[in-house]
Amino acid sequence: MFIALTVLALLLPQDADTTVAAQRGQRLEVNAHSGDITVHGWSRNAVRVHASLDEHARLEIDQSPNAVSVRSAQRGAPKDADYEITVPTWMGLTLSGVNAEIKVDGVQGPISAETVNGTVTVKGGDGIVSLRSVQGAVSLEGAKGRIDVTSVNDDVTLADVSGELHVESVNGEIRLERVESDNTEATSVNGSILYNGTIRAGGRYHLVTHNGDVTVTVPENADALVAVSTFQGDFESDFPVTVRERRDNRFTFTLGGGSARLELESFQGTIRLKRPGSHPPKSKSDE
Amino acid sequence: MSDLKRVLAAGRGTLDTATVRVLERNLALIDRAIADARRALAADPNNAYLNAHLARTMHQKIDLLRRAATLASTQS
Repeated sequence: MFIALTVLALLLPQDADTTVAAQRGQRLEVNAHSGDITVHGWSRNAVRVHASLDEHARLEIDQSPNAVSVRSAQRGAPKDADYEITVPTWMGLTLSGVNAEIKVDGVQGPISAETVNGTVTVKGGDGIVSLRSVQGAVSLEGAKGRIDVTSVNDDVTLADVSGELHVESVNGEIRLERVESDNTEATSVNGSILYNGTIRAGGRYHLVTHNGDVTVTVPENADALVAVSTFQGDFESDFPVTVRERRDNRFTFTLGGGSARLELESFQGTIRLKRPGSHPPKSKSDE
Repeated sequence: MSDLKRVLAAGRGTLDTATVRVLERNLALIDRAIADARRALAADPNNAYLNAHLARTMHQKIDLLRRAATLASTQS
């Protein structure tokens, strides 16, 4: 069954505010060409939508067993539309926009958020969490699951996250703080990478950049085979290491029994190993 | 840049010029990284790290081109 609900902006021409019931299994789907999408979690099994729309637009909410879809409808080219939406904490989200800023907090379902020009800021998320921006910083805090975060031209920051991490930026820094993971892949071309988190026995950590530094905070009890590769860069360590093998711009050494695999690569940047508590390098935004 | 222009040709006019500039700038960064790796490899063709680095950087270029194509098609 498919229910379409149209809310005409009767009280104020540009504002609409309505609440619909939500059922387990439904996702929230929002597509905003231009404007902000803000989503909060709450304990009610209902979706409240507050929208600020162009005076000629109207809010449409479609419901199916799988989704609650929110959009603005108008004649002609898409207009600015800002949404502030409150959903059950269990609800999954699929949010997209072009010139849109996306913010989420308090939701513990799977999250997909993608914009072209704008930041993506998410607190929460559980399951598959995929965040993307072309031109805008992306940050994720307090999520767990399979996490895939990308910005083309800006920084990516993850904090207090756990699970399998895949993080990319072409021209931005990658900062992974207080991470719990046994499988992390972080790749940049022109940005530095910072990793501060667990190095689990049997885990795999692959941090690669071309033109930036790679800094890893290594716990005292780390148990890892470390492979360092650089062409024109440097290597620095807060603690002594004994190189086991050196070949083709690459050397390896072992910490503890060497159970985890830590691969660190920078074509022309510095690769640093630090101990917990030492000062992390400043990010570009701190300078 | 011609690669990106070809990719975007199908969706020409659908991406705004600022987005195209950002994509072009980032593609140029990747191309410079590829050129760096190729120069290094020319001097040391059997270097395993350099071969892997070049391959990975070329994959990054493909990913960005694919992303640009997807953006162009979804906004058309």
